[in-house]
Amino acid sequence: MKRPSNTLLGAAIGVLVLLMFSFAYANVPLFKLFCERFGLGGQGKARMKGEAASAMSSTTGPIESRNITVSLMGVSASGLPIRFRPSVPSVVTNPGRSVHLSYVFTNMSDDSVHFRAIHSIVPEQAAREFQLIQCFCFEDQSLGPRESRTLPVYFALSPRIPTGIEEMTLSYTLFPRDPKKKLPVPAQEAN
Amino acid sequence: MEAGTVVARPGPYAEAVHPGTTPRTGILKWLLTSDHKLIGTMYIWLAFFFFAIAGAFAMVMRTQLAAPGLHVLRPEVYNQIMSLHGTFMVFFFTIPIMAGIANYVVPIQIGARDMAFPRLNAVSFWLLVPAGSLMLASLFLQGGAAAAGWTSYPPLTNRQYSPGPGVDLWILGLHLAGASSILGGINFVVTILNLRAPGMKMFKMPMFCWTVLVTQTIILIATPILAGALTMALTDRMFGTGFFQAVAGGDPVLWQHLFWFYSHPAVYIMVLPGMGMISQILPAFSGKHLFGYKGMVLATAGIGFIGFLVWGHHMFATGIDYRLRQFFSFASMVIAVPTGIKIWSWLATIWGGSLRFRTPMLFALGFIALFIIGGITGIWLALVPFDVQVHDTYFVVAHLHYVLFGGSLMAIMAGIYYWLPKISGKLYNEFWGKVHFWLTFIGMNLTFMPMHMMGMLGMPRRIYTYRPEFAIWNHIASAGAAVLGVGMTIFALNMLLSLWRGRRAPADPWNHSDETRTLEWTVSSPPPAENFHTIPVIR
Repeated sequence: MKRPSNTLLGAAIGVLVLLMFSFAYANVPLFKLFCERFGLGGQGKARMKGEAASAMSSTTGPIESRNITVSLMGVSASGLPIRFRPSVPSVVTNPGRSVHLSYVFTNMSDDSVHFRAIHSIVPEQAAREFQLIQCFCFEDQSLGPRESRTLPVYFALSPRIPTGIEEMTLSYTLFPRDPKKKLPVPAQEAN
Repeated sequence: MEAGTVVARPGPYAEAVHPGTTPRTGILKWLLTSDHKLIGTMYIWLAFFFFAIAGAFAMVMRTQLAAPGLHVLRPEVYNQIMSLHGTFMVFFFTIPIMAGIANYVVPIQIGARDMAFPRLNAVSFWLLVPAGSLMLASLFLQGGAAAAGWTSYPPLTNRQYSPGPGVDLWILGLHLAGASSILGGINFVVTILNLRAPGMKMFKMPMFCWTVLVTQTIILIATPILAGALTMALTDRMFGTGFFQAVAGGDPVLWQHLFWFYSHPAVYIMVLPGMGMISQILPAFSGKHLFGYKGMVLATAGIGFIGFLVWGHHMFATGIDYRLRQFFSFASMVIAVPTGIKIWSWLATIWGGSLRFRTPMLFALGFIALFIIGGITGIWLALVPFDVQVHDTYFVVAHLHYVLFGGSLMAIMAGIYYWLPKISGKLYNEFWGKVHFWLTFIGMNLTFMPMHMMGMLGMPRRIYTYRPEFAIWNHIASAGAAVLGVGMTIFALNMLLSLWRGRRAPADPWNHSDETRTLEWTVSSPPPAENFHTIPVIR
């Protein structure tokens, strides 16, 4: 088979390179079209369902008038020498409105304690619309001997929360960070 | 190799490609050359220079990470060093050194006098010099070098979060390196398709030439996409466009799609030529021809093709649709099939052979052992639940180093030890070569095996320090890095000493059998100007 000249073959490959470079730019509209057409990705999904994009985010959506009471609870499991309580026992809020509150933690022992908080939200069918934005449960926490500290919680209920839900509960359980490590004894008991 | 039988008689390509030129001497010989052997040699030198820098970055990082809470580096400097380490190892060491070795070896293996476009070849090489220099220089500017990792995801690379010139120089440096790759790609493909000696049919080409052909084709298809993405990132930063900025209607995830559409095939750009080297070295030191030559060629092409269908597995944690996750997960696992064909063919090649455990052979066997581990963890990572669990942890760092260190670097070392006598015309010290191998093999496993454990325990990557519970694994990894450093120093000294006072190498220092001898071993070491007195005719 006769081989094409080097220049011709080189130029043909050069055209392929230019096409691929253009294809990178073509991806900008194609990417959006593809997602919308096949409903892939969050952007596409929202439009497929005929919802406004803003409904995806609880903090930017419209604030609704219905009231929902959120009770706040907490329990320290496994003998951790920590007392903690919310700044308020419950809060009345509306879907779309963000809420800012705090929990006060006190280490009752003379040693440092390391712990993590696991949260739980009920009722289950509304839990996915309960959006924790800032929470001490996102990372492990430490308290020095006898230290008392206030940690914030920032959450919002999505406007998509099912109607008929009037009460919700946000509760925390504290666990020691290192389960195998011996826990410090509360100072009062040691005395 | 089936390309072994050579009849030296004048063929239709016997005329010189540089008629009437006067040979230059001294520094001008190097600066003005368009000879593929000199350019290939310069590629190798430059790549090893960048390797030394990127390796030093790695040593500094492992020093910082030797124990929790150390302050060898400031956090922001750690991020810069970490980003440059990855970028230099990928774009300025592995890819260029593969191009350098190929530049030297491929034209001789196919019986050509030079590359198809010798001057373009020189341009490809010289573009790399400013490319790497620009990026290195950014370390010394106000604000420092790019610190967003070698993947440089927006919004981290937006002007808002990376205000200094580091990211701009990173983009410009990669643009130049990409242009170098593309021009080199055009040259290699035209050379291999057009300049083969009479009788050198495609399926008579040595395996290394096949892997270079597939690799360069991947470069030609994928690199322009990266160039486009880099241009968008640059205009986002410089001229206020919003391709990757959500506030301007753009999409940061689009960068990840474009980046990985290049960078996943780039893994094969870095590994396939290494596989080609291994496919020549194993037969050479086993005294047998390569098992399943045509199957190997098809497997190489198969890896190249499927490599374009798997980029999404880097993005399982971005929230892409579950159907896409399923597709990318499946495609990623399928790539194990052609890779498995290769591994079994290599094992069948050495099976029953009369093995000679010279340094290149040791590195080739080390490649197989380590690459299998990297391949297996790759299959794990193709599984969405596992990937999401270990995403952005040291498990991924372990996996990629088993592929790129255990795979590419071991192959590069095998290739360098194999072809160095041909390139320099000097023999190196075999004993120190073997010491280098064992230090590399042991040091590599000490450094990167513990990273699997760190990752499974949840240690995040790309952070300058860590919590005390990860200390033991980091102690081991840093000790392993020290072993690697000693090994690489021995390698450098051995190579330099061999260049200075090594014994002269004969045309075929490895005594290939007739069925494994490729064309470069039929000419003197180093080969004469324009490679062949008369172009060989392959029977």
